[in-house]
Amino acid sequence: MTAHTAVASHTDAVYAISASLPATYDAAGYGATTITYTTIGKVSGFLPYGSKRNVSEFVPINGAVEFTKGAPRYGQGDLTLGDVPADAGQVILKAAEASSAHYSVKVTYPDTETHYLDVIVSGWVLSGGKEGAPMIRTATLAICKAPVIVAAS
Amino acid sequence: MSGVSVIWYLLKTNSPVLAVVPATRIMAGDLPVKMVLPAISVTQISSVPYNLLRTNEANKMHTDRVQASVLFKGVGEGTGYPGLKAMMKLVLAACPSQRATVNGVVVDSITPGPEGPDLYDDAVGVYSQSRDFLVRWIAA
Repeated sequence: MTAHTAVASHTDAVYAISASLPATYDAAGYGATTITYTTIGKVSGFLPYGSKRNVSEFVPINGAVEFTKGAPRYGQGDLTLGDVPADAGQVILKAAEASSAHYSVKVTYPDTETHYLDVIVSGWVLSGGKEGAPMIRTATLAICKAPVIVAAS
Repeated sequence: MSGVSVIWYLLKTNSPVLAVVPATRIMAGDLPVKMVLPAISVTQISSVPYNLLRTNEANKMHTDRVQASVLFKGVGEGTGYPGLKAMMKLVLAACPSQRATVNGVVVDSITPGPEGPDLYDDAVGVYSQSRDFLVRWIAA
């Protein structure tokens, strides 16, 4: 499928995770056959990611305010899932929370554009109980390096 | 439709209900013309899928709102209003929440919803009332 040329939805994006890290943090490194990605089941939401920098300002007594850019933040937030303890991808996410190691996440969009993320998992929380509410698991992720993006083929 | 088949099956296999309404008069969908009363009609109000990011992922949960409507003949030809009220309690008791396979449907849970208003058709002397159930089930 060719890359989208109109607005595309997130629907049917596939999220996968691996405990392996690439030799080099680029498309070739993440695409290496030595890394096996396991699909995460029942994903209902994923955190926003990209690059965002704080802007510092200096206000002089005389003259224009000066702005300077800070270091980039690549994203931090929640991956929400329908809780399925036996799901292989969720098993890895749970282990990632208990570990101090970085993990590799692969996001495949419906047009085959692929994003690779270097993440740490800092939360693994089950939703509070309520009649009729689905059991939702929230994994808290922080993205530690710039996303590696491979355009749709 | 799956929610309907669950509630229909639970009602037509429940002894206290069958003692008042024969299984042949517990029907999925609208009742036929000239149906002998008392009778129970089980219909679907809505079915809402629980959508994930991947829409075609297996084992999707659905929440069906199902309505069980009970119809009783009035005084003279039937037990009328008291009979209707007694049956509404039996209908509720016949459909307890459960996590099981019911009539081939994998049920997550069954939650009783609101009871409808008292209705009376004075032209034909029929009392009726409905009870909603929220049936959560898993599609294969």
